[in-house]
Amino acid sequence: MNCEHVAHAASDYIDRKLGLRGRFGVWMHLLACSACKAYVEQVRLAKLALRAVRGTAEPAEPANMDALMASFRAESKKRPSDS
Amino acid sequence: MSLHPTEFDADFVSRLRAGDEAAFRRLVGELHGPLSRLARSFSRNDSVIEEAVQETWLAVIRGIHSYEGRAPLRSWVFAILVNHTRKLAVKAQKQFRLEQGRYGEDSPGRDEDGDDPLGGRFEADGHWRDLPAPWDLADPEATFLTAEAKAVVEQAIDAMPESQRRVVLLRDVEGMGSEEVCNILGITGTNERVLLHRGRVRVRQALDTYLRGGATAQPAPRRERSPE
Repeated sequence: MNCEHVAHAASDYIDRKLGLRGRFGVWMHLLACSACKAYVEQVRLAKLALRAVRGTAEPAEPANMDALMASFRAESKKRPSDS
Repeated sequence: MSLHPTEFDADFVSRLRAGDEAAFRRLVGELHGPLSRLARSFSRNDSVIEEAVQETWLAVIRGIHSYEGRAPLRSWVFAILVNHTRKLAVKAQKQFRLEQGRYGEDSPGRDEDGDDPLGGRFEADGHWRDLPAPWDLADPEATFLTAEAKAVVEQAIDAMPESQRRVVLLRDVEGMGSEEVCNILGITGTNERVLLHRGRVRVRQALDTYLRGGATAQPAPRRERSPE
């Protein structure tokens, strides 16, 4: 397994989607290659950074929240027996 | 902002069915932004996006009583959005072409993006051309929670091909599992893994440039996309 293989397999390695052989191959390579070790770690950090933008830059609620609540209320009234 | 998505449990679903307004308001509060963001990967037309999200909420209101709980509530809502947005985007596209009298070559819904963010980084023998070097972050989580780092990541997301962006948004931003995401988007697991990896590679690249001081991100401009 060379650096290019490892770079392509980085996400599968991080997400534990590799088979035993693939996983072992990457692991062996990382023991010997500090560049790939840095790279795989950075892909892992990229995943973490993506999680950090959850819920940002978007309005939390639609402009017509009131209308939506009214629809919700109307629908609930249609089904009083449901619980 | 927590890094962990909320799961809506069976009790929450019962509250929605019973007409609990606070529960519905919370659901909308949590999911409206992510839904709009995902819808944007299907269309650039603001009115299409708005209509799709609106219709999704109405479908949720009407459909919550027949929701069987086979998929988590969040996935169910996202799947409704994807259906509505695909339909509306195709309709709007047709309309646009009729008006313009032309037929485009774009292919909505294509799952293979042909993107190759690792291209050119290796010698013929598979060695790095430029060796990646560590970032040396004392507290990565704190770094990524800064407005500047978030802007870098968001710009990288916006620059991704659409099919890639959808997978990245659902998997890494929303934190869903791959099976869930494949069901929502109707793609294969292999495809999903490839797209996710390409997306992460792009984000890694953007962060690398940023952390080495190569580019300062502008705190994201409020996305007011004008129709082209």
